[in-house]
Amino acid sequence: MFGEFTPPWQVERGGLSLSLDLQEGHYQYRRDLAGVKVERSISVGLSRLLVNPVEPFNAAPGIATHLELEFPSLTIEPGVIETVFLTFPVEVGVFVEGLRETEVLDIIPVQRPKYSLYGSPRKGVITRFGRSGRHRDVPPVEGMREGVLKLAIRNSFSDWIRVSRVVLPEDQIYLYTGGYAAMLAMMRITGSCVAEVMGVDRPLAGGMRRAHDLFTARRIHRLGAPPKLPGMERKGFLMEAGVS
Amino acid sequence: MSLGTQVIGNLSLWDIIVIAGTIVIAIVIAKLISINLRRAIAGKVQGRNLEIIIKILYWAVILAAAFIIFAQMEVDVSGLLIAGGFLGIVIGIASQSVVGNVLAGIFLISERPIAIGDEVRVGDTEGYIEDIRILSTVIRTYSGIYTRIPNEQVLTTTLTNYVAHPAWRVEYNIKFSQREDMKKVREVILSAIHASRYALVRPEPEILLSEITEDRLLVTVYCWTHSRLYWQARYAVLEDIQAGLFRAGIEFPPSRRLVSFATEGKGAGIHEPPAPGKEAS
Repeated sequence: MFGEFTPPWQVERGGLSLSLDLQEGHYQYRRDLAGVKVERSISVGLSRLLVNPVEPFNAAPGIATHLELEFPSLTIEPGVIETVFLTFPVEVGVFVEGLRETEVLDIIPVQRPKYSLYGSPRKGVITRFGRSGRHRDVPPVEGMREGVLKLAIRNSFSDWIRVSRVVLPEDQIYLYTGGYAAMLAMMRITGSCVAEVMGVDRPLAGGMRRAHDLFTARRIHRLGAPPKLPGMERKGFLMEAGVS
Repeated sequence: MSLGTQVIGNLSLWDIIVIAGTIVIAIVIAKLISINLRRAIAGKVQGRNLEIIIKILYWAVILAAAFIIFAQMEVDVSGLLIAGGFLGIVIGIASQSVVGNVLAGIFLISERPIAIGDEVRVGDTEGYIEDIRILSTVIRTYSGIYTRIPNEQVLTTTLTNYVAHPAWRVEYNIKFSQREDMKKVREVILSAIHASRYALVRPEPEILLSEITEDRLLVTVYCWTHSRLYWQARYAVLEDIQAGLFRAGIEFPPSRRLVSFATEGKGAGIHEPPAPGKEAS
């Protein structure tokens, strides 16, 4: 369902129906998700419609800026690197590409969002929460609802560590798409309950391309400075409130 | 012409160079302070307040330079200082509350115990911070009423910022019939909370049997939510719990009161219901 489309266009999958038609000189966008309907008229010199996965923070902006995934625990020996595949919730972003600019038309939260608190009620962060299985290879996913995270966990601590969750801030999420959303991240455990997490700006598999990024668009709009420019280094997130 | 040559009145060429240099240096220092202060506190202080603070500091530097120039010109400023001192006392007494509010405003702007958009309680006033000014703070109450509170009052009365921390605990007290199975009640409530988008997964919700009376159970439910969504969460989670209990066939006990009809003087009246298992006599 992800890709670039030219109107008229219609798709129905997993209870979600999207369409874009030309009616009386305007483009008419319609979305129907489990009975909840959204309809918009667009007046642009339209050329294409882009549908791709976006970070799961956009349907309800301002609530969470971090993604927290809980998975069956894994105990790791000191000095060892383990690679696991997890699934994470995604939202579907619909973008309209006009003659000059690309604009967000709709953000569809196919999964009911759930939030959590990572850290203490005083200093913690509100996270978009997801539970995942722990897989040794890319698991099959329903692309509209879930993406795949390849997480490399390195235990740099002197003791065995049990890991069952990872927290990624939105600026460390580099989404790629190719039928489903995917991202890469590294987690370096440095203490009994401390780890550093960093997103990796590389596709999971050949043929995947970078998803249209809502975080960058928002930051450019708000601060006037793009934080995800190629080659620009960004600090990772320090998980100080535990890894299990 | 030597540097000691008097050029204007008693002022020598050297004096004029010193005065001109002082003016230039003062302006440069004032500009540097303005630029660096703007960089340092931009984003932390609102634009209008930032300009006021910068202007105050700018003119303080210029005033200091003026006193240096007066000294160079051998102008006796002691009279000016005494007059200024008296004027300061008079203005100070007359504008005690204004000065107090300004100082409190500077503290509120720099310390930032509250920010625009925060949900707060100041004394008896509850609502959202609309603006923090040098003299006063504006609160929009829940009813949408504009309330202006002097900054001194904001600082000296009890100030509660409901959104200073990311999460806030919601509490419900729900009564059930004593016949209900507490294990089932707990399961149904937990499942409703877990399904609700407003209740946080962590800290985990708690369901406690807090009281057993003759005919009912009092259950206290604690769950956490995003502090900025507290009010939506408070009602939405309770609605989800009610829907869950209704689906599970768990009912809330009606108010019970035993009315007995008897011969006058022999037990007629309204009585408390008997304890479960005991029949009314």
